[in-house]
Amino acid sequence: MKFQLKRLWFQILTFFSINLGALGLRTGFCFPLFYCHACPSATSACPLRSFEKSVYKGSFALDSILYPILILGFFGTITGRAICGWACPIGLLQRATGGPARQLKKFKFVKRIGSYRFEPILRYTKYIMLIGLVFVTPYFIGFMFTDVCPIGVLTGTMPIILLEPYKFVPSSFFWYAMIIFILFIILIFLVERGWCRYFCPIGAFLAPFNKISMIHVDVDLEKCVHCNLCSIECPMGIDVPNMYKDPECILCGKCVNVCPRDAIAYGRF
Amino acid sequence: MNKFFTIQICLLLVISVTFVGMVYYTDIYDKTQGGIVEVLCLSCIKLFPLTSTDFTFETGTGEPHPDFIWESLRTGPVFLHYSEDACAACDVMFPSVTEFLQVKPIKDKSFYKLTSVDDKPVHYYYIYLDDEATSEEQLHTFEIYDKDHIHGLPMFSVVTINYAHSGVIEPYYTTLYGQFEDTDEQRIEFFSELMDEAFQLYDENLPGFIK
Repeated sequence: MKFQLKRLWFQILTFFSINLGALGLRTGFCFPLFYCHACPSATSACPLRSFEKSVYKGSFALDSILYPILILGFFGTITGRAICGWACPIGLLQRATGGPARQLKKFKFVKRIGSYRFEPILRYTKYIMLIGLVFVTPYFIGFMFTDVCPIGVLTGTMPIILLEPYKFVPSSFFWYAMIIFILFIILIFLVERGWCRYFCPIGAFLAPFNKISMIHVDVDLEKCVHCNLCSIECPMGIDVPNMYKDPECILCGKCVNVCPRDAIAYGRF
Repeated sequence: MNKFFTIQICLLLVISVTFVGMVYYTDIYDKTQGGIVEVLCLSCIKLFPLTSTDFTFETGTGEPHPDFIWESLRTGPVFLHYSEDACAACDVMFPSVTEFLQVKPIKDKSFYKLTSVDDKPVHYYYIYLDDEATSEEQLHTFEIYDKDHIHGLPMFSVVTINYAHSGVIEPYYTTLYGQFEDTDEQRIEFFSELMDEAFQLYDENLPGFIK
């Protein structure tokens, strides 16, 4: 449990450090996680915006595309998707909604959502979102993802409306974005880490790095008794005993903590 | 395992060296800071600033109006039009402004023209924030004329002159932000009314200003 408390502290610390813009710290870096630069206190840029800008309406700015790739690649190579589990503020939010999501699993309807046969296929949606909405649509049509991004609503629109309620009026995308935001909230209450599992484009970018990252979670199959406690505990719904550098693993360490035989451990290199 | 570790270290080195090289040798850091972090992304917040045409003497930063504005004001009001790369609302507003002022700037190049509206001279400055050729003085006006501290694009400022409380005639300006009105015709009508007010103030105060 102490380990999970450390992770919580790390998440809270990251949350405050990415909001140092409130003290005037506005850097030219991109976040290696999902957070909107439109947030009045954000310190850095959303990597997705940099991607979108680099390919906007047929343009191709190599530097703007390479820059967030290198930042995400750096963290991805070292930690894989641990960023999602340890640093991302949206991960922190979903950690908070994870409890209610587990409670709601008692209801048959909710339990079914995560157990449909197409559920593993649904996880590919995030890759489609990354390629389709972050690269393809800006190239051919214009911005679409940022216009309806639920994280933008949560971390950009809402603080601005609260801080300066008389300065702004809704744009034509506002209500569409609000509907998507409400669906996002419903999703994270119904499915534990639903956003990370199915829709997060940053998660989609970091996921392949789990295959080559220096830190990962290993299962000692000789020690494993297939009690399945780890899979039940896993917020990403991974079949832990049978995973090997799974792209979905966010290295939260819950399986490591829960294993009664110490068969699961963090592996390095 | 050693082989895999070597690959990981090599990859990390390549990423780190490329990243440091990019930050050191290119303007990507400034570009991200100035073009994404410091400019309010209206598309990201799904909101448009409320358009208020109230004129004011007080600049956004409290600094004095730049020299080129003072110089231009000797012959007519000034219309400042700000834009940047990959700005959807800038693209929407661009044709309305160019049609209204009868100017033909290239979208990604800063531009100046002494044009006219109803046969009255207007200094049109198209300031493209991502154009490397844009002067620092012009770029800085983006802060100076950010009346409501919105820091969002597109931004339009109309500078005219008026009698200030200090007893002298000084630049008097208003700033509009983002996308407003639904059609080009409505926007042209809107700009036309705004310029009428600017011309009226200009004509009333010009004799005292030139002195």
